[in-house]
Amino acid sequence: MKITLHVWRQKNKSAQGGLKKYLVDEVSPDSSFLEMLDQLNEELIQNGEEPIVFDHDCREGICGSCSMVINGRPHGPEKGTTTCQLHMRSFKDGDAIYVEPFRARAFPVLKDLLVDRDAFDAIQQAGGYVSVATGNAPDANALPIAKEIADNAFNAATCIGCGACVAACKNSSAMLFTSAKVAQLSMLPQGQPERSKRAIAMVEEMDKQGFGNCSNHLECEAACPKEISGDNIALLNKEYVTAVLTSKDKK
Amino acid sequence: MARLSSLFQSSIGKKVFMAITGLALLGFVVAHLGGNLLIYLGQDQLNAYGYKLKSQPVYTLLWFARAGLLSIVLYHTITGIRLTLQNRSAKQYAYKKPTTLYASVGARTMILSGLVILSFVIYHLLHFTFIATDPALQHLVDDQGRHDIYTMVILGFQNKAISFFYIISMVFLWLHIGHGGSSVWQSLGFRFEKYRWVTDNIGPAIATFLLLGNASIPLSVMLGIIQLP
Repeated sequence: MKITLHVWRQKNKSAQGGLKKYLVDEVSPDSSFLEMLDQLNEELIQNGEEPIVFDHDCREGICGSCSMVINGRPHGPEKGTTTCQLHMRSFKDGDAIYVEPFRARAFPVLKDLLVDRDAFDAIQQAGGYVSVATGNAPDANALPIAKEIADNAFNAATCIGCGACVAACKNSSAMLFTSAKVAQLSMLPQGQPERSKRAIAMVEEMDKQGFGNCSNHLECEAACPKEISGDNIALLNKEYVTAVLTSKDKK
Repeated sequence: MARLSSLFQSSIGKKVFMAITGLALLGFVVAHLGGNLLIYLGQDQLNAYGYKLKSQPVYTLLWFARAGLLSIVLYHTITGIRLTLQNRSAKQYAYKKPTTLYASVGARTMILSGLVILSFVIYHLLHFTFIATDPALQHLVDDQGRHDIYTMVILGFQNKAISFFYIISMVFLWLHIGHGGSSVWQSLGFRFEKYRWVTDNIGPAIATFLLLGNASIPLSVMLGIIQLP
């Protein structure tokens, strides 16, 4: 396959970036999108040029490292697929492909396609955990949980925190991510003690990090490589408002 | 209390208040259409309805309702503009190749349709409530001495340009409520797989009902279906 790439190149955080055109020849349709970029980078290195910087780690669709917006769509054209699991057979010979970094004020571009997603860590650290007493792990079946609740909590828990929801949102809102993290714990008994504190802290942190507001466009749900349901956002709204109205916290 | 005031400032709080005020305005618009449709029952019914609204004790309550509506409109408009500005600054860069995966045209143009509806409301108040735009519509009285709303509406809509403006504004209302009428349920935390077909369709359904009902009046006047007594 012959592919024309328009890739966002940006030297550093403060530099002005721009799209640069590359021709990649002899691309195997069986190679993944990242392998195709590896192939281009090999050529760039051989020609003494700077290789394109992009995030990646497991390349198995589970770590949430890979990002990039391919032809305007986070993680590219396949539904429920991360960039690393996207293969070149999804494109046609001779296609022109636009590759841009995730865009959001809260995700500043560090270099080329690499963005800083620390804002997600800050939201997670604000309350996306349960405090447990140390000691032996309790027996797995000691705490009965209804199948439906376990399934919904699991759906929320499959969020890999990649940030595609923010990249797809016209407002760069982090609602789907935050809602998945809140929903996962608020549905389960282990999450109850810190339930209202968690909802308030995570939403406040999300707002502080400079993400936009939610307009219920649900672009996030459509772009999510783990197909996390927008129902979680409705649940987050309810969790947050209930927490604010019933919280005994003096603050 | 600090927490409660932060509810007004937080992203979710603003969205919830947009939904509550939006629902209140939607309730008003639907009730308003109910009153409008009395025109099809003839001059007597419509004028009698108007007369009832302007007699005590309804008239006093009406002024409270108007004051409430005005504050709701102000909140909904100002917060809508603030949210739009915040959202634009949160995105900062547009993609060179933008795509839309799911959102409807109505969803993506809420600020535009909202501002068009606001300008329409201002004109509509001057046109039919304060009767300040057309001297020919002033001081109309029917044979029972009541304000003759029926004749006023027909004379008003005999102007094709004005009728056209009303119909176009109703198309924007259709766009706005098509998204808003469904979106409010998500904002208020009511969105479940089981009831998805209800919450997803109620907005477009009410919006279409409002468009057909409201636009039918200027159309009926222009087509001569409703005529002067």
